[in-house]
Amino acid sequence: MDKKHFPDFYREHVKRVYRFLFYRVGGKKEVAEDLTQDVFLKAFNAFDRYDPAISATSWILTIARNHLINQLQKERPGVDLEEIENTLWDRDDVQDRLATNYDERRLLDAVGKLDAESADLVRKKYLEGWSYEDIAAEVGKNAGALRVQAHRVLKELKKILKQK
Amino acid sequence: MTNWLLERKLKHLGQKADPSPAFLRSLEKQLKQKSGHGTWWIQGWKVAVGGLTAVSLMSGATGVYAYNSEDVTPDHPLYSVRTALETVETSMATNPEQKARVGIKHLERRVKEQQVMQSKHKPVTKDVIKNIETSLDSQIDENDALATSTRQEMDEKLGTLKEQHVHLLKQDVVSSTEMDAEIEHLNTKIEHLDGQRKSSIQKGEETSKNKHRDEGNRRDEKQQEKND
Repeated sequence: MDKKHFPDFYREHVKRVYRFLFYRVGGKKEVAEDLTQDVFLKAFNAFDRYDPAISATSWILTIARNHLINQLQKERPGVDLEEIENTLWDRDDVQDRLATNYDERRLLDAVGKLDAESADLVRKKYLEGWSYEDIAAEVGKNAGALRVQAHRVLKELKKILKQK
Repeated sequence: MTNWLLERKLKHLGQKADPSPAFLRSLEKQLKQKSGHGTWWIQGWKVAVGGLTAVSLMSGATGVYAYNSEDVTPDHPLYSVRTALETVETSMATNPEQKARVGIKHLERRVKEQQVMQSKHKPVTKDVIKNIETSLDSQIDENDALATSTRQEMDEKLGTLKEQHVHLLKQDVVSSTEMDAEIEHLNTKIEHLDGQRKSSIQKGEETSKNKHRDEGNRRDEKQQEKND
């Protein structure tokens, strides 16, 4: 794709990429900033090879994921990104940086009590700001079905919040 | 707690993981330097030209019609004029409260457009729906910058708009189901009428055959009488 379109691409995706990295580096802003900078510099260099037929979110997050894995492997060889993603809700460092009051902590705890698929949907849609279409492309489901699933997940969250 | 309120809390939590404006400015500057100023400069010009076009249109009857008429929906040729005028309106809002009020006003217009299209049985495309939903989500973010009392007022309006939008979507599903039933009923009727038409044609052909036969018989009888 022509590099003259890169500014629009950058503005559309920068927050999403930053949030994606933020959660996976324990909520450390400076680390997330450095990684985001690296990712967009890489994306800029590769932009003329980007095929618009591919989802833009998938493309930039693949670059982000690969870059993150490389950096994590340097610090901790053998680290598993999936394991990091599955334990996001249990991480005090992420909670401390995000949830600054009692209600917010309760909300994050409640999300942690959902099944893995539902928690993943909440993370992608609400915390990382993905669109339903992008999530659908990632998980191989229909966007409409995901909307319905999100509605059910919110009902489940309300139930969990009422229990405490 | 409504689903909408819970969604809002989750999104608000998500925003805490947003990058700082200072970082965004610094990265954009770095990328700008890397790409050369031309790329970003072109973007700036596009906005300026769009604004000038919108202002010039606003002074004419076309602009007034495009902005005010309910008939100008996303499928209308003048819709781009309407959205250009709204862009100008947004740029003229100088503080968060004005921006929020203009944003909500535009959202009201989007939902109204959806309602008008559905009432005229025009297809409301996925892009139109996605635009409304993206705008609703963005407006939630915009409302965060407001003072508490104003935010409550804006959030309530936003909640009402969201409910209207969802209600319209559901109506569309119901009306398309009803329409399918109506089409089915009409198809059955057409088949029945077609059957009637075919049988009446057959009857007509038989009547015609009988008539020719009778005429033939009468001619023969007359001929016979003459011969006699």
